[in-house]
Amino acid sequence: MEKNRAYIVSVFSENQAGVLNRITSVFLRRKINIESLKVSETSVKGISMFTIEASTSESVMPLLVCQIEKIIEVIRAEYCPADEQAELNIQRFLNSLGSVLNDPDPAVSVC
Amino acid sequence: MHFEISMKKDKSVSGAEALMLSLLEEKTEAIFGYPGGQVIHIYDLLYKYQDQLNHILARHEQGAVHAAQGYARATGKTGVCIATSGPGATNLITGIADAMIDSTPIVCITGQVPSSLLGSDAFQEADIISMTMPVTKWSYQVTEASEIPEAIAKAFYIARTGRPGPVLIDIPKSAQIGLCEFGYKPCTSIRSYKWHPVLDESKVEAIVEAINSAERPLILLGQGVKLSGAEKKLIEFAEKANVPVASTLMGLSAMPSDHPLYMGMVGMHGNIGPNVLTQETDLLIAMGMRFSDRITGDKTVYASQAKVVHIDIDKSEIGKNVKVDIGLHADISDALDELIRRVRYVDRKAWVRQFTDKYKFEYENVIDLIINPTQKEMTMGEVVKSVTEYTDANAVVVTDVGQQQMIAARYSHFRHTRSFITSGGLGTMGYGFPAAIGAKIGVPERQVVLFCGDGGFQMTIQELGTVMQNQVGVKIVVLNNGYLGMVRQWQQLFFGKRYSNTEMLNPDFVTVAEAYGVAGRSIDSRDDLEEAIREMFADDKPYLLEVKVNREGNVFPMIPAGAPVSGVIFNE
Repeated sequence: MEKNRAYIVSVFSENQAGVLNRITSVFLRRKINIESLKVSETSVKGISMFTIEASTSESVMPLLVCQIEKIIEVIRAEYCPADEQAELNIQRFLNSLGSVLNDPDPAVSVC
Repeated sequence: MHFEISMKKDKSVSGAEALMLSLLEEKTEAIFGYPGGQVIHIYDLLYKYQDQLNHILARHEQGAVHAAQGYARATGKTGVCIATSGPGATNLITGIADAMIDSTPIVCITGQVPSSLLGSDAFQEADIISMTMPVTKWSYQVTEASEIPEAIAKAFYIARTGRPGPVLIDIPKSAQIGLCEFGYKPCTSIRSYKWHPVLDESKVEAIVEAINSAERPLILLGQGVKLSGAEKKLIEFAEKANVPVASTLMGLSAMPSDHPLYMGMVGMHGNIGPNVLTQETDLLIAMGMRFSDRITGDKTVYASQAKVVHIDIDKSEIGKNVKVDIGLHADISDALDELIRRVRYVDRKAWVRQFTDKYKFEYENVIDLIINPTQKEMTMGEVVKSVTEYTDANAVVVTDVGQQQMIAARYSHFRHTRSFITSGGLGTMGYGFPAAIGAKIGVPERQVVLFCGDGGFQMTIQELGTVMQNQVGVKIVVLNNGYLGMVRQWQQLFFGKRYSNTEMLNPDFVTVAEAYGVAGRSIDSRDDLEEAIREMFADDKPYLLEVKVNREGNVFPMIPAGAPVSGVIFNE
C-alpha cells in the first residue's frame, strides 16, 4: 500500500457559490481528509484562489488535480508537496494567473 | 422561426416566458416533462407556446429524463426535460447520474420553491442542486428572471461541448413569475472552461510512428467517436492504415457491423477474438473510450505487453485506469484528421486472420447454439437475430439492462451510426423503454426496437401511457424468462444456484399493453416468431411482442469480474 504524503493543492476558479462544494467533493469521493483550506480573492475580479492541504498517495495526486480541473468554474489546479518549497510554489502559482488566463489552451497541464 | 412575445408596456416578459424564448433560441424541438406546483407557471407558458415547442408528457419524471437521454443519443442533439420541485426533481436523479457516466448531453430544468422560502423545508422543497452536484457537469440555481437566458445559454453550451453531460438549472417560482427584459446571446465561450484541446504535435508524430511500425495493432473505439461525429473518419483511418477495430458496448454501431476491419465487441460479454487478442497486440489504440472495468477485467495484466495509445477529449481519463504510453488529449475528429494524413498502409493479413479464426471458433461453440437453437425453448439470441435480419440492420436498437442487453449487443447488426442505445456505465434497469420513446420522437423516420426483460420493463412500464397519448411507434420486445436474468446467472455460476429473490411472477404483458391501447402478441414457439415479427413491423404503430424464452439461459462468452481478459469462459 502506497504511503501517504502531505500535499498542497492550489486552484484558480471563478468565485461562484457551489464551486467549493464541487472541489471538496473530489476529495470526499476518494475519502481524502482536508487538513486545511484557504480561499482568497486574487488580483483579477471574480477569480479566487483556493489553497488546500491534504494527505494522500503520490499516484492519486495527478488524477485528483485533473478531476478538479474538470469542474466548469475551475481555471487551473496544481499540486506540490507540503515541504519547505511549498510557499515558493504557491507564490509562483499565484503569479502565474495572468499568463494562465491568456493561455489559449490552459488545458495543457499535469495528468 | 416566428414567435410572438407577450410584451408588457415596458417590453418585459416573465421568467417563465424568458425560458420559452431561450429554449426556442437553442432550437429545442422536444421537451419531456411532468408538471407540478412549482412549474405550473412554466407549463402555462408551454401551453401558450404549444405550436412552437413540442412537450411530451411522461408518466414519471424518471421516464422524462430517460426519454431526453434516448432523444439525445439517437439525434446527437441535446435532450431537454422539465420537472417540478421536491419529488419531481429527485425522480430525475437516476437519469442524471446515468447521463453523467455515459456522457449524454441533457439539460434538466427543475422548478423550485419561491426564493423567500428557500431553506425553510417548504412544501415540495428539495436541495436538488446539492443532491445532483456529483452527477452533473454543471448546475445553477437562478435567483432572478433576468438570469434565465444566460443560464440556459450556458447550460446548453456546457451540456453539448467537450465531454457531453447533464446540466441542471433550478428555477424558483419567484424567478418564473418575476419580469425581465428578454435579450438572448448564445454562449460561445466560458473563461474557465476550455474544452477544445489544441493537438500536441509531438504526440501525434509519436502515434503515427507507432502505428506505422506496429505489427499487430488494434483500435478500440468507444462512444467518443460518435460524440465527435468522427465515424467516417475512423473508418477512413482504419482502412488507410489497415488496422482491425473492436468496439466497446457504448461504441457499437459507430462502425458498420459488416465492415471487413470490424472485429466485434470487447468487454465482459464481448467477442472472444477482440478480448483475447488484446493480450497479443503490440499497439492498442484507444479512441473515445475510458477503459471501464467491464472492458479491462484484471487491470494489472490488461494489455501489459502492448504499447498503449489513448486519445480522448477528457484529459482525466488518460492514464486513469490503464497505463498509457502515448496519451493524446484531443477531440477525436481533430486527431483523426492528422492521423489519416500521415499513416501508411501495412499488410497485416496474418494478424487479421487471428480475429476471424477466433470468431469462427466462437461461432461454432457459442453463437450458433444461441441464434440457431435446436432445443424446444426459445433463446433471446434467436429473437434478436430475427429482428436484425427483418430490419436489415437498419433499426435503432434500444436495450434495457441485463442479459437481453448483452444478447442484443452481441447479435444485432448495424449499418448506421447512433443505432444502439443502452445504459452502459450506470446500468439502469428501466432505462430502455423511456429511452426508446425519446429515440422514436427524435428519429421518427427510423424503426426503433426495444429489447427488454420482464424485470426492467416493469421498472418504467407506466410510460405505456406516454406511448398511448402520443402514439409513439416503438416496437417493444419483452424477452421474458420469469427471472431477473443476469443476477440469476451469477447466482447459478457463483452462488450454487441459490436463486435469492430473482424469480418473478409476471402479469400478462400483452393484456397490460392492450389496456394502454397498444397492440401486441405473446409467443413461446419458434414457429410463430417470423410471423409475429412481421406483424410487429406491419405498421408504424406501437407494438408489444412478448417472447417467452428459456428460463435458465445464460450469456456467454463471459469474463468473470476481476479475471484477465484472456480468461474468457464459454459455458457453464
